[in-house]
Formats: sequence, C-alpha cells, structure tokens
Amino acid sequence: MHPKSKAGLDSGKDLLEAFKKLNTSIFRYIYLRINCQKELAQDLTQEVFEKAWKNREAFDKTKSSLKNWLFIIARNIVIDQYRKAKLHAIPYNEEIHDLAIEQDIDNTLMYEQIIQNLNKLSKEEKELIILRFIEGFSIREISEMIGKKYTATKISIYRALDKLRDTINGKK
Amino acid sequence: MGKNNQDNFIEKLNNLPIVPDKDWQLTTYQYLNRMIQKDVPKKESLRNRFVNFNFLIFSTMNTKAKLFVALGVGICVLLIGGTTAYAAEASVPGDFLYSVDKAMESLQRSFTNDPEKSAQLEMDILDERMQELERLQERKESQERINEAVQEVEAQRERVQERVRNMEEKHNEGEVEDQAKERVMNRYENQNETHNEIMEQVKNQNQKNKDIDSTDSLNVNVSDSEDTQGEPGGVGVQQRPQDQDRDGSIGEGGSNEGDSDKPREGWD
Repeated sequence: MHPKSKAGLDSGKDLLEAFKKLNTSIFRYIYLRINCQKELAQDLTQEVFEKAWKNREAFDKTKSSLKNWLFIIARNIVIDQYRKAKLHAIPYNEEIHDLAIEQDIDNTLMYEQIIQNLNKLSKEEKELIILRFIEGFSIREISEMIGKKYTATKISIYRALDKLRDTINGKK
Repeated sequence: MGKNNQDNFIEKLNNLPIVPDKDWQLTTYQYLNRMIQKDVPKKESLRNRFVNFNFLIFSTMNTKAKLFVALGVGICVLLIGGTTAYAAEASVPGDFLYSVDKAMESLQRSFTNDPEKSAQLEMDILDERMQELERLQERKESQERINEAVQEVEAQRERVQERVRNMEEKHNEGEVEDQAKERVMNRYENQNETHNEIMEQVKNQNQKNKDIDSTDSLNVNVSDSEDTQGEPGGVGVQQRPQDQDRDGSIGEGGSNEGDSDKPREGWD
C-alpha cells in the first residue's frame, strides 16, 4: 500500500474529481444563500475550488472529509461576500423558473414556493435547512461546520424546519 | 403536519432541482484543469514514484528490521551528512564539495513552500554566494575562479528577484501578510546595497590586476622593443584589446548600473 499523507490534497486529479461530484451541491448551497443570484453563485463556486487548490496543504483528511472542507470554504466565501457587498442588500432573484426543469408543473410550483419561503427565513435558519435537508449533512457535521454544540444545532435545525413549513402553510 | 407530510416535505427539499449551467460546468472544469497543470511541477510525479518505491521496500520488513534499518540509516546520515554538509558549507566555486553544497540548497528549496520563507532562503543563499566571492578575492584566486563566482552570484541574484516578485504577487492576492512583505523587502534592499559594494570591489580589484598586467607587459615589451628597434610605445596600444576583454567579462557580471531597481520592473 502506498503511503497517504494526512494533510493536503493528494493531487489535482482529486480536486477535479471533487469538482465533478460536488459542483452542483456547492453551487446550490451558495445559490440559495445569496438570494438566488445564479451568475454570482457560479463565480463563487469556481472560487471555492480555486481556493481549495491554493490552500491544499491546509486540508487534513484525518479531521474532515473533502466535501466538508469544501463546504467550509464555500461558507467562508459567502460570509465574505456578505461583508463585501453588504449582501442583505442583494436583491432576491425571482426568476427561478429556469432552475426547476424536468419537473411536472405541480412539483415546479412546490419547489418555487419552497425557495421563495426559504428566502423569508433568517440567514442562519436558511443555512441550517440547506445543509441538513438539501445537502444532507449530518447534525454532527453541521455542528462542527457552524461551531455550535450538537444539541443546540439539532434544536435550531428543527425549529428552522418548523418555521419554513409554517411559512409555506401561511401560518406566519 | 403528520409524519408522512413531513417526510414528503423533507423529500421535496432534498430534491430541489437547482443546477448550474452545463456550459459553466464544462468551462470551469477546463479552467481548473489548466490551473492545476500550471501549478504542479513536472518533477512531482517522478518524486512521488521514488518515495513510493522506497516506502514499498520498507513496508515488506518486520518491525524489528525496520527499527534497525531506520537507526542505521539515521546514524549514517548524521555522520556522513553532517561532516559533508559542514565541509560543503565552507566550499567555494571550483571546490570538489561545492556541488554538495548546491545539492543541499536544492533540497532545502524543495522543502520550502511558503513565499516569505522561500524568498528568505534564496537571500540566505545569495549571502553565502557573496561571501564565497569575497573569500576567493581575499585568497587572490585566479581570475577564472573569481569570474565563476561572479556568475554564481548573479544567477542567485536572479533567483532572489524571482522569489521576491512571487512574494509580492502572493501579497497582492492576500496570501502574504504586510509584515512578512516588509521584512523581505527591507532585507532585499540591504542585500542589494551589499551586492553593489562587493561588485564594486571586484571591479576595482580587476582594474588593479589589469594595471599590474599591463605594467608587466609593458616592461617585458619595452625590453623587447629595445631589441627590435623602431617600435617604441607601440606595445601599449597592442595590450588594450586584451584588457578590454577581461574588463568586459567582469563588467557584465558585476555592473550595478540600473540593476538595483530591476526586480521592480513590471510589478505594478
């Protein structure tokens, strides 16, 4: 067996494989977090992989998976973007029809409703919903990513989910 | 909302059909590929193969054997490497151990990735090259060896300039802190001054040697001219082209004019 370093991406091939596998997930995460601005989300997704390559020595596979590490980079880029552009001011893009392709009309309406209501949640709530239910991270992984305790993260996630459901059902 | 409805809702979240453009995926993949190709040194794959091969031999041994081999190798490396490195450190261009000295520098380079450390390392090596040149001058070594040392200094100086430029680029990209940049630039400027002084000394020394040579030749030729009548003073003129050649070889390597601001060209 060949030795594998604990730190760093082993090769550029690993990064390209990760891009093939994860570009859609990372794009989706960024897209939803920056109010559905598609072009900007694509630019920032590219930035995630560029940064990952430039800082490849910092990746420690014994501490986290490549997917987690890339999402942490994506998260930091979004935070930077918020700071840079005062992103509270970034307008919500309502033209999301082009994304909901290959679905029947009912599903399309449902998805649009989810996305629109997701944007009514706070930044933190929106992030928790995306990470847990859209990207499928475990509660443990999310708690490590956002730097909160497991139980607190779990409670926040389900509160956010309830809030989203209530918003969609018109309770709030 | 019942459990089924909740599951259904979560499933909908899970399947949100949000995808980037296909064109974007393709162009970004190609862009990343180019970026990686540009960044990976060509020798990396070879080096990895070598390391893997050695590790394979090592992995076939049992623990006791590994310990003995590791100890043996360690002692040998310490004894041989230590003595050779010490001797090589003091070597000058033309010495047998000079190549060992340079090999060790290459090894150090391969372990240094940080832009600041890399620039500092190249400047350490340049200091060493300049000291070697001074040693050769003190020993009044042959012009040939001094010229060789001058070339080494200039080659190393180019490496320093390249690393400093690289560090500046990284600084602009936000990867190098302001303080680190300042440290490197201060040292770089001081080193430039030292370099200029040393090269001035070399030039002066060369001029002195040239004067001595021409006086010697003049004496020899004057005595010759006494034998061959009718050519008084002509020898001095004949000596000139030789002097100019020698002067040129040092002058090219050692000229400081316009060099001090060279690395800054095109940086901004």
